[in-house]
Amino acid sequence: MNGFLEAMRDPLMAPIVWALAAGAAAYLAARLSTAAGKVLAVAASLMVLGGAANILRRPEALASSIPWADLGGGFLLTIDLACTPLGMLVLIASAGFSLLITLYSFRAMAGEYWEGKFYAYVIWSLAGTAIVALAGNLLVLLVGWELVTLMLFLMINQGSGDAPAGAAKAYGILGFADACLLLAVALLVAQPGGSANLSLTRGAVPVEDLGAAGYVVYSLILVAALAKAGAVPLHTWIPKAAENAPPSVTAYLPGALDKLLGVYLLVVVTFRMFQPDGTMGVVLLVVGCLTLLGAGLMAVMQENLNRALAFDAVSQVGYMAIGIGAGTWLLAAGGTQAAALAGVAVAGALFHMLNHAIYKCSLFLMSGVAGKACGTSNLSAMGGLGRIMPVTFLCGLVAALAASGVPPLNGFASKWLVFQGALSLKNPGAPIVLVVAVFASALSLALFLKILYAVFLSPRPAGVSVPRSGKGSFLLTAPMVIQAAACVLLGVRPQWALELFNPAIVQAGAQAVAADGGGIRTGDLGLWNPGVATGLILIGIVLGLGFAWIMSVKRKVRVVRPFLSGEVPAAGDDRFRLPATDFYKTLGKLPLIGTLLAQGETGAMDPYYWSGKHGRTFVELLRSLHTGLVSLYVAWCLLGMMVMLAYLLLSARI
Amino acid sequence: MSGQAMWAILTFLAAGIGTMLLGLALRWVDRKVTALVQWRVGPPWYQPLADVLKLMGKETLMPSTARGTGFLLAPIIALSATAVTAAILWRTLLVPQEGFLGDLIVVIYLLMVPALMTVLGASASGNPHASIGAGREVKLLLSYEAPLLLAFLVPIARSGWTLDLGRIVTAQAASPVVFSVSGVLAVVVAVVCMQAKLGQVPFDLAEAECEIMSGVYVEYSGPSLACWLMARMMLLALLPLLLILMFWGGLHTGAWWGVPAFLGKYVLFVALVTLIRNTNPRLRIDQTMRLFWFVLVPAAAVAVVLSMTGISRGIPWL
Repeated sequence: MNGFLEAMRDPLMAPIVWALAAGAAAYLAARLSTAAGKVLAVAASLMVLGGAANILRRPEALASSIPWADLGGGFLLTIDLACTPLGMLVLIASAGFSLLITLYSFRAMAGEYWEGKFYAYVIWSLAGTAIVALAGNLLVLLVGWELVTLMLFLMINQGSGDAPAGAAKAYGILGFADACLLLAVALLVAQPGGSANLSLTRGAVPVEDLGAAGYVVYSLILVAALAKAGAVPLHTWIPKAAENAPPSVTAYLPGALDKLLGVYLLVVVTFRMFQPDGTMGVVLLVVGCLTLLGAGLMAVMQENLNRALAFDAVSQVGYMAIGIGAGTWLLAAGGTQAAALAGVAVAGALFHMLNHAIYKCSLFLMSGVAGKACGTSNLSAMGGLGRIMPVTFLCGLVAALAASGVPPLNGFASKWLVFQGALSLKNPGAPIVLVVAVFASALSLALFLKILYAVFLSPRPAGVSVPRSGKGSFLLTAPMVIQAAACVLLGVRPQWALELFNPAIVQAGAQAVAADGGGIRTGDLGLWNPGVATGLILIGIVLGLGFAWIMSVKRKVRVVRPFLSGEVPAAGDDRFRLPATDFYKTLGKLPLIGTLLAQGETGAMDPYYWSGKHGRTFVELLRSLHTGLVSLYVAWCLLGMMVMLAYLLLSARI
Repeated sequence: MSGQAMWAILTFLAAGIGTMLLGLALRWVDRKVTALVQWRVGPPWYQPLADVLKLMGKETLMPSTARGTGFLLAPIIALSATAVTAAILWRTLLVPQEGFLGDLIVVIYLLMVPALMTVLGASASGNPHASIGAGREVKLLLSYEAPLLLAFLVPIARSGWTLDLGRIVTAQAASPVVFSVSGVLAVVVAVVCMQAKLGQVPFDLAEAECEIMSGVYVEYSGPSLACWLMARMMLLALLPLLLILMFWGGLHTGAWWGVPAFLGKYVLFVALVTLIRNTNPRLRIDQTMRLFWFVLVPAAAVAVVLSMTGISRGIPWL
């Protein structure tokens, strides 16, 4: 009890302990009352936010270390916690997402048989994220990491239809990633220095210093981070999980928290634990480009709204990988200017991580509302919601345009920084990365135009009843409105967020731009100046509207029948409705690209599918050996004894 | 309001109105030349203006299937985004030493906005012809975006990897990009992409009058249609300018031949647009995508490789 009270007094420990305790209380109360779960989920998010404010309020950099056990051989188990600017950003953002998702779920999850437990899982996921964000050593981070994976499995598993298969796939891939992380921990402890190697606060060590083991450890942690964030080829759990999982879950974990965690670990391992050499930067750039292109192309071909959004969520991880990869390469190249430009690239990646979490979470929430209204997530069977749900449409539009990087929204601001980072590589890789990055942005735009058309703008298919947004729709739309507002705000004033995560990075970036070309030209931080451009576009729109109004002051807009070459469609006639799924069929018919897409759809590039297929062959082989006949088992025993005998004789050199 | 913002607004208004007038004139030239090629007399010089004014006086019709606000707002947003692009480009031409609102990436994205609004407006009309046109417009955007950027990478690489339009222009003071093998190849690719971005024949498949009845614009009428026409005329005036800035060194203000030379280059690019549109049949969307992805992308990639080789080996003509 004393230990608990002690822990509550430690400002770093407090948010974690509060969240874990609130989760336990919500779990216990789940059977009795769902209201308790709701209250506890809101309270836990607010407590974590309060705890974060409490940490930030203190002028000194906080760190705490509680010894736990000495396992011998130089392996000391300690609970190390530390506060870093990026960790705090992850903590605050995840508490914010948890609050919004909880509010959304009041209505979206109402009446589900596991509603009470859902809130417990939400709180525990937040607790896991808080542990990762505040972890001072890799072992503590692993505990939080594993907790979030477990919660993801439990939550996806509750979805409808094929959800357990999606949950199994997610757990299979993420479990593999966690195993990689655990192996990395074991390898690090086995190195000279023992458990001190696990520290995340002792400063970056060059990978070469640890020899070959250093590269192995770095690669293992990289695999764990990329699988969590969902980069090619370890991304396949996200579309599968998104297909049938409840929208609240998809928006919360794969949409927001998993991205934050994956990219956070990527940054921690690349800049806080190790100083990787340029090769690792190139690996990240290649992974980033493959992710952007592969997942981007797969996304535009999808026919299910959730799967399409999931593939786009994968694709966008490419920008973060590119930003961090470019940063790694530039840092390894050395020199103050390269270091400063690396700051720009990494700032872009981190800003994109935050932006992406905001708009993708919003889009998954939109997909939940739209899917419920239409009774399906199949894009060809949706439509006509623009008129019925104008607020959802507007929020979806803003989030979709932000995701496509349309200026002046937040997605553009962060992509701009990533492009600058890629360009400052100034090597033959730069043009490839830049072209892939801009092209992937066009692919995103194509995808979202298809989604907007399919869900909101196209006529409703015949036979679909009129969806109505009923009671409690305020709770469903309010989180989306807040996120859409954040997209606009961070687009117009990107400096706010950039200063939040690391003022040093921003200053370094500004210096780089200054050193690079005689003064900062396009904005006060080397950014373009979104404020003026937005203002001009708005002035243009106002002038245009004014002009249109003057022109039509005497005449109102006259509503007429659509022009269908003289045809008059009868009620329920679907011949004049073009499903959005027809938009990009041409892509599937192109040589090379069509083949690749078809292969991708059948799982040819999915390691989970391949390991399942070959694992099954192996299991079948073993199974065929077990026929139940006594004579066969006796034969096996004899064979085994002979092998042992031969081994003993040979080893004794007789 | 600060002086800087005041200047920005003035530049915006001047560039917007100026580009619109220039676009009207270019549209007339385009129509007149087309008529002469087809052995017709062609319209009088004020015809494009008369068309716009007439449309402005007409009533606005909206189909019953339309999502009203989006349908009517789309052309206005397209027009104002084009005007912002105009402000950036003209300012770069006249004062390349000073940065303005943004750089090449901002321009590329702003130039995407009219296409984006065309698709949203067409989708919002609820007409199947418009939907088919919208699908094609997006595929067209996907087609030309990659080769266009690759072509732009040649001047970007030659100016020391900068995205700043002004610096790309000033880096060409001594020798423009187009006076090199990679430059010529890149310009050829960029001209084809410009044709597609303008939606001119052979890439007018989003409209395709005789097939899907003007496709994306089928439901537009009156002032909204006038907005679309003006946005497209402005693009006709802006894209040749962008190509000159990227590949041909902009306006040499110091020399007496600066302005006439600029006008010559400008007329050349506009004439190319008219020439291509009068001598080619429309391509299908799959043909277009093959052309851009399997012919122009490799060509532009070769140009980039050539220019990078030229830079690293110190061969200026490569």
